[in-house]
Amino acid sequence: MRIGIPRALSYYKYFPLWKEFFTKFGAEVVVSPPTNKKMLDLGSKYVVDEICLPVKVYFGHVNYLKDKVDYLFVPRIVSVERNEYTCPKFMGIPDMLVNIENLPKLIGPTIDLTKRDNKLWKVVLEVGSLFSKNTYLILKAWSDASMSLKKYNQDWLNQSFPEELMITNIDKKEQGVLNIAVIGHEYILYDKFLSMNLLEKLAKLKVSVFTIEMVNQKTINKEVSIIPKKIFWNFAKNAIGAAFYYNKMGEISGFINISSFGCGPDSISNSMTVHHLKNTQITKPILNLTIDEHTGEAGINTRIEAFYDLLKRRVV
Amino acid sequence: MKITFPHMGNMYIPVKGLLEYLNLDIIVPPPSSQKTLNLGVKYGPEFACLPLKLNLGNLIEARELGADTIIMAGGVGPCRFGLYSQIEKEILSDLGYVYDCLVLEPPDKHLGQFIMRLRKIIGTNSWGRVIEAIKFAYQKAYAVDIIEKKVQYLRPLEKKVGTADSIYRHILNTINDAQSINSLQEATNLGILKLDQVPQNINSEVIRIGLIGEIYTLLEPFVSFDIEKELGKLGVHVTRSLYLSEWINSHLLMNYYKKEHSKPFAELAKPYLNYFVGGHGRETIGYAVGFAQEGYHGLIQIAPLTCMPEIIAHTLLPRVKENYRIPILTIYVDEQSGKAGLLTRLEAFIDLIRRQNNNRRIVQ
Repeated sequence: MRIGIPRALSYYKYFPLWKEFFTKFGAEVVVSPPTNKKMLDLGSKYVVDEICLPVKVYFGHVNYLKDKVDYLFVPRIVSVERNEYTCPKFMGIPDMLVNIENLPKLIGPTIDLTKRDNKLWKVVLEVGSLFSKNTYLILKAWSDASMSLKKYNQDWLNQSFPEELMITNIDKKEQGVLNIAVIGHEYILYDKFLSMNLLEKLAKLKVSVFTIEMVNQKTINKEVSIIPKKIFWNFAKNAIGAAFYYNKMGEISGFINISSFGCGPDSISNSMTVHHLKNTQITKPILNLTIDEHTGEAGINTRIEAFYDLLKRRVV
Repeated sequence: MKITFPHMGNMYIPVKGLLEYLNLDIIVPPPSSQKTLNLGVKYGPEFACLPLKLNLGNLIEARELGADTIIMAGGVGPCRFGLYSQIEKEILSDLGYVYDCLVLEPPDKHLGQFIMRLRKIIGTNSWGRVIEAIKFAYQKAYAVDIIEKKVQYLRPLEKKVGTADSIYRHILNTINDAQSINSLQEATNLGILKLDQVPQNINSEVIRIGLIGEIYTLLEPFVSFDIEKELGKLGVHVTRSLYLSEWINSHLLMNYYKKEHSKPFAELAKPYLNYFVGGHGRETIGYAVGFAQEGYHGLIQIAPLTCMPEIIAHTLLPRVKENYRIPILTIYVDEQSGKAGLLTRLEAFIDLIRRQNNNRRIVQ
């Protein structure tokens, strides 16, 4: 049995988990190749213009996979933590996919942990029951899978990029000239096509990059708690918390915010981040990059270099 | 203490009724205008949706009139609206405006604190009095909706364009001024009587359009360029998916007042959208199906640019369109929108519907 997983959106956060889980049952996991222009063009056909770039890309990946697999794994990730949501677009994905013709069978469990009595294990059993009737086997596969996700996340917490992301020529151990915190959704930042290779460009300039995933959850929750209102988007909460944390870290000399045009949570979280960073004693420059399908690489390069020069002059 | 709140269409009428019933000092911000929008665009985040910018503009304008306390609704996600209060507070404080703020939302941790803050604002009024005031405010919202529905019905039929609307404006003022249930009842009855006398063309062919979409753009004529009035001029009877009193009843009063007919929009949306997506995304799909089943001639979806739930709905609407063979037009508004462009699109859309109707009649 071949199960397709699109290399987009939640892939970057959870892929090792899903891969391990499905291979435990002897399924073959097929991942779409890294994003390219053609995928974006094909994906854009199935959605409205106004939707954000990462979702268009997601549709491109699904379109690529549709005749190569028996099943497509397209979870509806509503919430991964109590009283927190992901984003309305994540919540509507399986319904919107129907716009694509000739889809294979979908495995589209709903993961909604907003309420206390919604339990993740119920979803695990629901998905696992496609492969096995043995509850023990399913839960065993799940616990193994969780371990590999833990390892994946641990790589980040050790200040390095997990192998699975295939980010080359970045050696975190080598001390960079500058340290920059790059704040952005992992599905933009680690997608070389969408981020226009931002990470490798920074590496070439000998910049050490710090991302949201490198801050542990406890620190994030602590940092965010200075905002009286609960930030109910999980991703935005992490972004804000990480930015606050990096702001206090002396060796970080600046921020790059990267987000896609029309991203709802980012429009709010960027503004909140900037407001709070401005009101602390520490002042660090922030570069805002907004991407859409018309973004030119030359423009991005110029801005990154200018920002780099600015930071260097301040630091040295 | 001078209380203010952001505008949303006719919402100022029930809110003013509520607060005045409690003998509180209140400052209604000037109606949303280009100046309001300019202020909001200048100080608000660039990529935020339009309602946030207008809300911000309202609050700045109210500040200039001396307001120092805000009452506004909130939310717990996943629509951006839930964080409006927080971000507006931050921007206002950056501008040097310190506001007291009461956000009406399901409290996630501090119920006691919420009640204390509420108590601070309502002062010495008893809880009984507060409940009476809420009932009174709801009656006002309900009265406004009755009148509005009547005006929507009359617009395409009136002999002289604009008659119903001038009466409408007048009735809104009398409803707004009403201080007691009795005078409110009187104002409503008088209004209905007046509207009944508007001369009508009996033979005009009326197109029925369902207006669906995001709540703020549906209720605030300033952002939609008076779309209902303009459609009325084109001979269209507009029905909205959402009326203020219904929304207040279902979201703030937990359906205390029985609805006359409750459309199970979540059920109707089922084949297309199986989960809530925040905001009014599921309502938009549900009502689109509902209107189509009731035989409406066309649908217009209106939403602020980048509105997340409405984008999901927009992606799914083509399938409703195919299944029910009903024309749908989607309109996004932001600070760059212009009225002339909108009117051209509306005219073209209505022409298309009329032609389709004529063709159908010929075939039959």
